[in-house]
Amino acid sequence: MSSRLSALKFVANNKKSVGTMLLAFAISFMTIYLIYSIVICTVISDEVITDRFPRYTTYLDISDKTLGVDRNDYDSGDDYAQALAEKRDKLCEDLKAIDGVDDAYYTQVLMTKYQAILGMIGYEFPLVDLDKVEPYLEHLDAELIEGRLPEGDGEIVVDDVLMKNQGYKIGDWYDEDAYGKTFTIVGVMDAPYPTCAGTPMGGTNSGWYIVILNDSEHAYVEELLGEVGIELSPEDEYYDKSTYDDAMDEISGIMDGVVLAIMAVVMIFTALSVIIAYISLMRNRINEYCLYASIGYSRSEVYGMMMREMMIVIGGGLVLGAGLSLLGSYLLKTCAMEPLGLIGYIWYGKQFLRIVAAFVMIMGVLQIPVLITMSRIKTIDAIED
Amino acid sequence: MFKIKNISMIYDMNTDEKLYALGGFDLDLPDKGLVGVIGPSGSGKSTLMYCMSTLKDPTEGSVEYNGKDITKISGSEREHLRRREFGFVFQKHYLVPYMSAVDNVMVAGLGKESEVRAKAEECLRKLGLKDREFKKKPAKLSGGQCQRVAIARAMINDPKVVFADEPTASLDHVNAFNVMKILREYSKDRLVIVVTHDRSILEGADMTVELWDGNISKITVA
Repeated sequence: MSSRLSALKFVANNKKSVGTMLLAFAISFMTIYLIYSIVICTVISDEVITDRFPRYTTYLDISDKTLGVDRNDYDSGDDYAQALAEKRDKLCEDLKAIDGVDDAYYTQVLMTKYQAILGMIGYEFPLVDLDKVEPYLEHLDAELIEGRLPEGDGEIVVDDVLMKNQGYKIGDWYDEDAYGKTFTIVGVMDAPYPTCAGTPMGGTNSGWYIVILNDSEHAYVEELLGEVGIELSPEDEYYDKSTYDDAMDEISGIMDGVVLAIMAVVMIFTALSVIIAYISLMRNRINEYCLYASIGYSRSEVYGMMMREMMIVIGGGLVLGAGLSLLGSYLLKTCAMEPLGLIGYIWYGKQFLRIVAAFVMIMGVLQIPVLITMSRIKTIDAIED
Repeated sequence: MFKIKNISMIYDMNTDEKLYALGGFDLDLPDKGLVGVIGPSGSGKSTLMYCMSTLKDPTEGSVEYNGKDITKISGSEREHLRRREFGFVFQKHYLVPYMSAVDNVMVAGLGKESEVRAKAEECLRKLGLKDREFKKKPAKLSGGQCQRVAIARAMINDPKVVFADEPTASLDHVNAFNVMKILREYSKDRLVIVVTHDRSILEGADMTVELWDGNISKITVA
């Protein structure tokens, strides 16, 4: 038996209510997708740093205990400091001797900041003696592309991506020091990740680390120290491939949690508003459904029409939402991410599938008002009694 | 066409004071012609129509349609009958508010879209609607026009039986006369059962069944 219960009739004649629901779905889709784009931009941009940073340099803040120096064994502070310096220098020499380590030295570090759309990423770069600047850049495979290399104390060169990210220009003050000491940007380099290199200045509050200029095969401090016969203790701090990987896992986990939480909130609101709209819509159409049942349409035909209408609304919302999301994502990438030197994409397949799955779930939830309405469909004799 | 035997319909079965909508009577109806079922409110005339059209099941008795007891048939067989062999004009027109007049007629139609559309337009024209009114939605049509659309919907599949429950209740005299003229015309080849409490509209009916308190008080055959 042919059915004339066309879903398109309702859609074509109720553009306002169908359009409102369709738009609600599309906007929810776009909101979730763009929030993901923003959050994931931080993760992807951070990933470049955490992945590449330890392939070139690792940092070690080694304790007295591990170096075998006890303050109580020395009468004066100078003697104690002298002993520590000797041990550290010896350790640096031993590390340098490892095949895969270009250099190792105890030096000051400075924090740099890399601005993401959401939040900021901070990490250290070394302040090295003038004669070590060039070898350090060579080790980084960095190339000076503008300005000059540091020629005096307190001068730095900055990666071009970081320059863009922070809006620096050559000659600007790079003032990260809490004591009010400022460093001057004298050059721009093309480095494998957004970083800086510079020369120290006396009297700053910068931290001190043993900076190891390693290759990507020697990116684990514990292994490097093992090679020189030193076992690290819990008092030692270091930043290497393992710590950056852990940090990255943690950041990814947190960001994923944030995305899922936002997605859940948006989807719950969308589902609730659409369910309420559907209940109201179906209540208004109950006489129509009763008419169909009275003139010989089966319940399954009426249900089929309801489902087709729902699929048009949700499917339309998906298509429109996907289009708006890709457009929004493109605008975000070109207008917000790229000018900041951040990495972002337009298409995120995993997130797209997640949203589609959430929409399918909403469609499942919408079965509740549909089934309630189905249970209320009677033939017209029951209405007129 | 219809052979009704000992039909009774009791509402409030579980209470002490049972309400008999139909009190248990027999009735035979012809294959064609205009049959009026008349009686005051609560006499059981609408209940009789619903039982005959499979919308309701009688408490007892049988309704034979073309030799088959339609009180015993399955749900899908009932749907088949209502869709293919019966047409309905209800007290209220029950037009779908968002559909145009022609779409409201087509919604009941069987067959190819183009054929159904042509048939729906033909029905509406026969019923006196102008072409420019075909695309109007029920809210833009008068009560008489809506009722004529409902009649066109009932006739779109050329049903063997048209059940019309108070088809002129919401119409003025002129429109009521026109609607009855259409139904009378249709009853030349088919069976049209008109349920009403208004005796005047049944002028020229082939048969009149008068109900009183759920029982037949008089049958008049022209």
